[in-house]
Amino acid sequence: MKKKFKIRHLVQLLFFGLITLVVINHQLVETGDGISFVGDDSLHGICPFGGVVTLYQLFTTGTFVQKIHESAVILMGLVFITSIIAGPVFCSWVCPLGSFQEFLGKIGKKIFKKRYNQFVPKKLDKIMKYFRYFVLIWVLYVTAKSGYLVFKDYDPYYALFNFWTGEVVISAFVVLGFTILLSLLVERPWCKYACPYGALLGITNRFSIFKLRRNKKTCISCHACDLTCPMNIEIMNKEVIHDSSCIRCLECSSDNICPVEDTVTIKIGGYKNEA
Amino acid sequence: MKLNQNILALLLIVVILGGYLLINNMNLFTDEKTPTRYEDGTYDPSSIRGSFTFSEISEFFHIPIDTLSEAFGLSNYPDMENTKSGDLSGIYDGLLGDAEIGNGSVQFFVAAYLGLPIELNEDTYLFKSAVDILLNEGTPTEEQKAYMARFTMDNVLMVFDEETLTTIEENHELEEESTLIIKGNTTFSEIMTWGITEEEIISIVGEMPNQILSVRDYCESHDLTFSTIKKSLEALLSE
Repeated sequence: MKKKFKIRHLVQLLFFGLITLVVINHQLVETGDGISFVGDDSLHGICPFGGVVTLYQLFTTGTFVQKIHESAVILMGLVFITSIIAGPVFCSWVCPLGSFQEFLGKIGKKIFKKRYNQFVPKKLDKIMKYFRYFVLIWVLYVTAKSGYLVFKDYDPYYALFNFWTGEVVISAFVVLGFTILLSLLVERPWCKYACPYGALLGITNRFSIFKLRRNKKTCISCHACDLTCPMNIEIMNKEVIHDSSCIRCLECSSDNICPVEDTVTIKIGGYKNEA
Repeated sequence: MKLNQNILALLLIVVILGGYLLINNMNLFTDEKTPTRYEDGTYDPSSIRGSFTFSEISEFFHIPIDTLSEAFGLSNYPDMENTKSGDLSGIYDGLLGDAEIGNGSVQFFVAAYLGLPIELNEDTYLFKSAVDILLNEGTPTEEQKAYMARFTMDNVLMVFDEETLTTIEENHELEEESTLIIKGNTTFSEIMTWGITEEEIISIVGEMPNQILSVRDYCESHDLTFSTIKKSLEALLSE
């Protein structure tokens, strides 16, 4: 019998709680009511994607995009380290917007049962997944050209954690609203189709040190992995999951849904009993 | 070798949470109040904004806060550490005639103290106390020395009693209400955050400049008169 308690959810809760506390404290400090033992950084300071969008300006002029500073670049580096080791685990274990969508997804699952996350036809899903690369290129281009954090005006993460500040523009609220509604139908819609940072980190599925692997010798072809994958990846047809949309949540793994021990795992090298 | 989920959780907590705590400890979360840097990593004094407190300026540029207090005639001023550079113009409002001691004076003082280049605007004055410090302790360039010789004024001796502080506070509030003033280092992106649209900027300068450029830099590189462009933009801001 599989464990109900998942360490991943605990980690998600930890980071979601931390970000919420820090962002609230950032507002409290400005009014003189801050909590001393909690950080009071701005959301821009603790967003590793800020580090990515400022890279061009940093290399060309030695300065940061407005509102971004060293901390974002260092956090970006730390996230890349974890991604090189284990793939885009940041998306599934740390990102608070991902956790928020996942939580909404649980409501969606209760409403739509088995139809949940199956509304988008497979062919369309495959095409739409490329959209986030367009978003990534667009964000990098307009930020480099303008030196302004243009994406902030469309970023649901910024809207979610700043909705009470009066700093969020309507377009970001609209994107957040769509993300919330779609999360009730589709698992992690923002991550799957639009997240520029997920697009970038997803590339590490190809070269991370630890890779998600399926042991075809012991696999009983039960499709449990395919059915549980939030990103609709067909795991059962693959031996190594290189799909750039994989977020390494390990829901498909033998530690979670896969009923056969050591059949879907995140590891270095192939399985011993493989040919 | 298999990666256990518990180990993965530990890796993320150690690397990301640990990294965050380390950065926090190193005080790198300096928010948008970080001055920009020259290519060699030195902070650029011209990026000191009116919202920087004297303790922040002291910290970024390694100038003792007592030196800053003395330079700007604020040795007796209460809570000097939390006083902002932009507050200076409010403190001396109405006491200096046509001259102004303000954020520009702080930028100039810091630059001349450290021997760094800065654009010389003919509306930036310094008190004699600041000039004395610069000549004795600072490393001003010859050009900066020549400038100081022309734009020095006698110190205004002030007693910061309750009545004076109330007047300063009122001046400060008025100042805050009219902070949308285009200065030499105001960038186009700042102007846009004040509500001016791309179309409006284009209607004034003929194209959309790179938003990271300051208005003055842009004008100089395009043979435009800064004061004319500044007036047009400020007219839009006041609408």
